[in-house]
Amino acid sequence: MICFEEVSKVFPGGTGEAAIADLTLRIEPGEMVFILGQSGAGKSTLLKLITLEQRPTRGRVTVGPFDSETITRRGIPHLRRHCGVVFQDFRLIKDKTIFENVAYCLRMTGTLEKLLITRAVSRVLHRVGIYGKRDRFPHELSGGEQQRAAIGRALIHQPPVLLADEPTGNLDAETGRDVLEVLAQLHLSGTTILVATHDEELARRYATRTLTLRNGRVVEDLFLRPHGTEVF
Amino acid sequence: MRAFFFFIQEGWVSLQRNLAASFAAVTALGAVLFVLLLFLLLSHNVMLLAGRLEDRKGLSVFLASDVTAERIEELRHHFTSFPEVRDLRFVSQSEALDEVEADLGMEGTLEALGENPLPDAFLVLPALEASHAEGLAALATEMEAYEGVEDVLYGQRWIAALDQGLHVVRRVNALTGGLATIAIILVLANTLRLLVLMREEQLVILRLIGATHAFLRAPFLAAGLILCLIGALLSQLILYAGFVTTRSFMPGLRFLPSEWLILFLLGVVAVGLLGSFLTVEASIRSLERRGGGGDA
Repeated sequence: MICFEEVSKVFPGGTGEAAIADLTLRIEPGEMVFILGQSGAGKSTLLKLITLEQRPTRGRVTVGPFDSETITRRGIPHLRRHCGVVFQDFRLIKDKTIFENVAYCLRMTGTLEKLLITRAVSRVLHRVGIYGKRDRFPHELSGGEQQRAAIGRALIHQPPVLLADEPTGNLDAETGRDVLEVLAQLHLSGTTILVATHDEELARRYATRTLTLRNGRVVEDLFLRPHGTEVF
Repeated sequence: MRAFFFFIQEGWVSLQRNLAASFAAVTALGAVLFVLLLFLLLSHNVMLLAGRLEDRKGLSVFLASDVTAERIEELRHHFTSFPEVRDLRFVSQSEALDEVEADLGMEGTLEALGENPLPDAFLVLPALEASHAEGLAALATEMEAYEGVEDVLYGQRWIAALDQGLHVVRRVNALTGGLATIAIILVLANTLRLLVLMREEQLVILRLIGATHAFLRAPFLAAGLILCLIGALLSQLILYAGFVTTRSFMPGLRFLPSEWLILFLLGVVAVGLLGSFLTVEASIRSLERRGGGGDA
């Protein structure tokens, strides 16, 4: 479960306006929430508050067992493994193959046994449909394939929550839908998914719930279908 | 252990990818360490020479001609009880004459001179703590005050000069060591800062997907360790090559003992790790301040 309790975020040195203002929100496990809004509405900031890439100026964010008020610096990497993250620009490590990119995440947590790594990475790459391109470097793949690899990387720790910040922003419409299909499949397997996007059509098609932000405030909170419902 | 090799491998890969910077760093480190080793080699040889000279830092305590055998025994007893005295040997008049004759290769000196002009004496070997110019002077003054002692002689000038020389050598060594330490840290700081900059994007990504601070830091520490080890081994190799070449016309020259070389390596590695740690910490903190990868 993800909880925002009267959370505000004001960036120092900015205009003084809150990027997120007095947000109180509760996201249950298994939801697939699309966060909608124009550029600058606060969508990315909301996701960054979940991973504590940004700390709230006021209020409290809790993600499962992690609490923004009590978490230590050492606890933050564990929070970030609890929430897989997918970025608009994929953010794969350029000089590592797709396999190495995903495997590196496992090594990061102390898994160094080759056989374990091979099994786990292969399973994840099969799941996102790019196992056949495991030995390619990111620049040798299409945008959609890179995003699938990024999703694979986010899934390697089997996180209960997956955050995607404009995952289709750099992709054409068809490829974007392919990527969303992958996320929808993950949702069906029980993962809580939050997607920040300005594409309302995709939201209507895949979301169980949409949150519309304007000037850092939720102006609409719609429950579209029950959790875990297959979408078509 | 697996983690150690993983980070060493990561460090090595990162050095390979920045070959020019790595090469420049190893060359600079090798040069600095070579200069330090050269000073150590010179010091080692000076110390060896000084050690040989130390054995000659004896005092000759000449006794009055009318001193009795009982008084000689009393004096021996007194002097032996001095903590500054390591060893003491009595040389009688006749023994002294025999030694002179043996040294000069002459016989029948006594007949020629009519009487033995040499006095009875004690040859005193001072304890190491008292083997410096001031210590010997104090010991000589104290012994001279005893009844029956006529004169005490020792090589005041050369002992003072030797002490002074050793003091300078130690100072130069400490100074060179200090400068080398600073130089190692500066070279590593520049190189590692460059490596961090070149991998900045990767560091940001890793932070965002849950890498710990230690995981981000470790490959750079490994790179620093590798640079220091290569630099230190290279400097030792060049020094040895230089030593082998020089030995033919300086046969007395000795190479550094293996324990020194191992200690040198360990010291360089320790300084290198410290320098790498400080640099990488500062670089990653600076990355955080600029907003790369958030709060962790």
